[in-house]
Amino acid sequence: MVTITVNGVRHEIQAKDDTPLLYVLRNDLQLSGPQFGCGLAQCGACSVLIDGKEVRSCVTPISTLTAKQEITTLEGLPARWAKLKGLSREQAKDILHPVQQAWIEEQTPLCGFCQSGMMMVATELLEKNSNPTDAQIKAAFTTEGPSPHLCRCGSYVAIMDAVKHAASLMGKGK
Amino acid sequence: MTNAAENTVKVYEATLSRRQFVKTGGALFVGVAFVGPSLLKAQGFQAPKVTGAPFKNSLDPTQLNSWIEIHPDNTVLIRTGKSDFGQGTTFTAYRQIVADELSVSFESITTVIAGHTDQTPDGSGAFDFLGRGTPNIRKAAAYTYQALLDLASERFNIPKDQLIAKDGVFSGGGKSMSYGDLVKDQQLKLTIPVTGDLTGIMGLRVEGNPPMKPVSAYTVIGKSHPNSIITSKVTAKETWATDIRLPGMLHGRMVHPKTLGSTLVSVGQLDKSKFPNSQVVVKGNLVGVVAPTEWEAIQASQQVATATKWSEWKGLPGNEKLYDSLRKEADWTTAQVTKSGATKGDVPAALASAKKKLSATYHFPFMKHAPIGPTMAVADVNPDGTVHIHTHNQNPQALRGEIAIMLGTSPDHVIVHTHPGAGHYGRSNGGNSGAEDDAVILSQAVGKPVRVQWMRAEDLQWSTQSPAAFADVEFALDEKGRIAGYQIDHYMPAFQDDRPIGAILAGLPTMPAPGGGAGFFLSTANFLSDPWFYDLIPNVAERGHGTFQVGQKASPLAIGLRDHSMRTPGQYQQNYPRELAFSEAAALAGADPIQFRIDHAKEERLINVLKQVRDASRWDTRPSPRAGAKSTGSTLARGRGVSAMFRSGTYWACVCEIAVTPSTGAIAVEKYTIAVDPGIVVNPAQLKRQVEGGAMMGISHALYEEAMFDESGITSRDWNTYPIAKMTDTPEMKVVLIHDLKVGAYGGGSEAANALAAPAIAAALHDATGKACRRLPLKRGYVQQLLKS
Repeated sequence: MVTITVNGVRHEIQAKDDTPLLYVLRNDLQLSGPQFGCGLAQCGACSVLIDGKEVRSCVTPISTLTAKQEITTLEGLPARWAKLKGLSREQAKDILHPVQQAWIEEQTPLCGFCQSGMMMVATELLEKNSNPTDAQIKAAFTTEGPSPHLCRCGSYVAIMDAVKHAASLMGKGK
Repeated sequence: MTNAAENTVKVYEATLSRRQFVKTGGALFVGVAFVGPSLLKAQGFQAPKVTGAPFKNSLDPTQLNSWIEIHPDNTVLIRTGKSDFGQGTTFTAYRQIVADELSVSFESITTVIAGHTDQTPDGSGAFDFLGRGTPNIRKAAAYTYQALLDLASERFNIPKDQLIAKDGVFSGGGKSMSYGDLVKDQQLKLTIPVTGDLTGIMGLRVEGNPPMKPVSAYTVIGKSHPNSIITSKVTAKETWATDIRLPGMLHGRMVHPKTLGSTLVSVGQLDKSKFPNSQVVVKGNLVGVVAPTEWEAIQASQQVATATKWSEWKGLPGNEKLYDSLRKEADWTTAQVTKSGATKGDVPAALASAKKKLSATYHFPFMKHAPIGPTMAVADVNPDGTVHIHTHNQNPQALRGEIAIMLGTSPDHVIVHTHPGAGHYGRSNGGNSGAEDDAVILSQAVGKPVRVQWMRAEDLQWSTQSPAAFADVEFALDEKGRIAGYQIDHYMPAFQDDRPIGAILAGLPTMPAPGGGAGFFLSTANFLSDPWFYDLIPNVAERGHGTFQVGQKASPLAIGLRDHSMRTPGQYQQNYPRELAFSEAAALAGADPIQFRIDHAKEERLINVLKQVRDASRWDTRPSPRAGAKSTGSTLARGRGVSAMFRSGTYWACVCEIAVTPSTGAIAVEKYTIAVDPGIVVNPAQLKRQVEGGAMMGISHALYEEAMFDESGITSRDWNTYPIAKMTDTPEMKVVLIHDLKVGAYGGGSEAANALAAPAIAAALHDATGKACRRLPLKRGYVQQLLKS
C-alpha cells in the first residue's frame, strides 16, 4: 500500500502500486481539479505540483511517490497560499490563491478543461519569479515542462493576462 | 379547501390562464408563479418525429414556466436546452437578455438550468446561442413581460402604457408592486406557441411576435457581467461530466477495430490471472471491457486489444492522394448542385472579355475538432428500460433521440444529463460525441452503470472530423482593374454524420448515413454558407457540389472518414478560398487588398469593419506582394494579409502580420488584429475572450492542423501527430469591438474568428514571398516545398 500526501492530508491508497496518480486523485480521493487529457504527458490537463514542481499525474505511478512529498492540486491552492503568507486557519478559510483570483478577474477559462493544469504552472512560475516577462511566461507554459501546456479553446492571451494580474496580486500580498 | 375561479386572456400569440385562490379554512397556499403541468400536452406542439407521441420526462415547451419562473421573492429562474461549451452565453448574455426584456436586474436571475433533457424545454444545440438576435429565451421573456404587464394593469386598474417597470417592480398611478408580489398566491399558466422537433438538430422554436424591449431601453445588455461558471471551475467547485460516479458503477474502455472498415474476426481472450475482475462485452463489431477500477479497465482493454483479430481493409485514398481522388474519383452527382442567391449577370461573358484573369484551386484539409478531453459518458440502463446518460454534449435532446432509435425504445425512456467538459467545437452538436452509445451498450450488457472514457488515440482516430474540401475560383478583371466577374465551385463531402459509432459497430439501428435523407443535414448536398457581400461586382456565380464521405461507400462498416460540422462549418471551407483568391485578385490588379475590398462593397457595416481593422493594425496601404518580397534565404521575410466574413449577423475582418523563414518554411504570426461588428455587443469582456480564443484556434488551424490518414484510417493519434498551437504561437493580439445600437440586433461571436486567420495568413505569405500557397495547413514542409518551386 502506498501512502501519499495530498493538499496537506495523508492518504493510504488501496489502488495497485502501478496506478497513475491521476486515477487515484480523481477516483480514490474524488478530486476534480486534474483532468484526463491524453494519458501521455503531452497536454498538461492532469498537472499537479509535487514539492512545488509541476508533474504530469497521468504518467506518474503512485509507487514512485512517498508520503513526504507534498502533492498540491487545484483544491489545495488556497491552503498553499495561506501557508506561504502565514495566515491562521480562520483567516485562510475563505481565501483564494491569487492565481485563482486572477483567473476569475481576467475571465480566463473558456471551456476550462485545461485550466487546472495551467494554474499549476502559473503557481510554480510565480513562486520562483514574482514578475515574469511575456517571454518567461511563454517559456514556462511551452518549453520548460514535460510538454507544452495545450489549450484547445485558444485562451493563451487570457492566461498571459491572468499570470501578470496574479503577479500583481501576489506582489500586493493579496 | 381552495375555491378557484379560472379565466383566460390572450397575450399576443400566447394565452394566459389564471386561477385566483381564495384561502379558506386556514389553508395557506404558497404561490409560485407560472405553475403548470410539467408533462407534455400537445398544444401547439408538433409531435416529435421519433415516436410520433409526446415524451414523458420532458418539460412542456408550450408552458412559460418551463422557460422562466418568477418567484414570490422576486428572483427569476431561466432554463435553456443549450448547454455551455465555454461560450459562456447561457450564464452571461442569456441572463442579460432576459433581464432587459423583463426589466429586472442581472443579479435577480439566480438560477440557470441548461442541458438536461428532463429539466429544459427547447432542445437544439450549443451553437448560434444568440439566434441572430432572437433566441427562444428572449421571446419567452418578452411573452412573460407582457403577461406581467397585463396583471399589473388590472391590479392597479390603470392602462398598461402608464406603468413603468424597473428592477422587477411596476409603478404607476401612485402605486408600486414587485413582480413577485404580483404573481404570489396565484396559479398562472401562460401557454406559448412552439414549433419544431424536440430531438431534431435545431430543436424547438418559440413562435409569435410579442413586443420586444426597444434597444434604447437596454440597461443590462452592453455591460461586462462576469461568467458565474468560471468561478466554480477555477475554485474546483464544479461537477464536471468527468466527475460523475454512480453507485455500483464500472469503468469501461473500448477496443476499437483495426481500421475504419474492419470487421471482427475473433475477440481476444481476457487474461483472468491478471485481470480477475474484468469482463469483455462483444456485440457485433463492438468490443468493450469493463472493470471495477479505471486502471484495470485500461490495462485489461489493452491486453484484449492485442489479442483481438480484425479483417484488413484499405479503402481510403490516403493523405497524399486525397485531392486527386476527390477530383477524379468521387461522385459529385449524388446531390443537386446548389446555387447561391448572389448569382447574377453573365460570368462566362465577363471571363471571356477579361483584361486579366485569376484561375486557381484551393485545398482545405480534414481537421479534427480535437477536444482537450477525450469523449466520455456514464450510462445507467435500468431493468425497467429507463436510461440515464451523464455526459458533456452539445445537443442532449438529439442524443436522446439517437439513443432511443438505437435501443428501439421511446425517448420517454431516455434522460440525458449534460455537465461541463472540454469544448467540442461542433462535434456533438448533432447529439453524439462518441462515448455515450458505447456506455449505454456496455451498461445494458452488464446490468450496471458504466463509465466509458475514450483514450487520446481513439478520440483522434474514431471521432468525426471537419470535412476536407477544394474550390475552383475564377476572377475576371476589367481594363480599369476592377472585378468584372467572379465564380466559384465548392466541392465538399457530406459534413454531418450524426450516427453514433458504437451503434454502427454493434449493428444497432441508427439514423440514415449521409446521403440517405434530404435537406441540409441528411443529404450529400453542399449548401452555400458564406454570404456574399462584394455587392458591386456585376457578374457572380457560386455553386456547391457534394458527395458521400470519403470511404463511406467502400467501408464494410459504411463509415470511412466520418465528417462533422466544426466551428463555422461549411462557411470555413467556402470563405477560405474566396477571401484568399480575393487577395490574389487584388495583387493581380495592383491594388491594396483592403481598399480593393472596400471598392467592391456597398454594405456600410462591412466597409466600416474593414476600415476599423485597417486603422487598428496601422495598415500600410499598398499592393501585394511587398517590394522586396523574397522566397529564398534564411533571414525573415515579413508580410501581411486581410480577410473578411459575415456570419450570424456579425461582420468580421482580420489582419495577420507574419514572419516567414523561407529556407525552413516556418511561419510565425507576429501580430493579429481583428474587428468585430455584431451590431449590439451584449457583453464586451466575454465577447473579447471568445474572439481571442477563436482567433488562436484559427492560427492553430492555419499553421498546423491536418488529420493524417492512410488507406485504412486516421494515423494522427496524439498531440505530436496532430499538433495544435502552443502559447509560444500567440501573437500580439488586438480585438476591436464595434458596438452600434442602431443596428437594432445582436449577432453571434463564438464562431467565425477561427475561420478568419487562414486566408489572412496565406495572403500574408504571398505578400512576404510573392508565392501563392493555396493549400492548408501552412506547415513547414508544405511552405518550404512551395517556396522552392
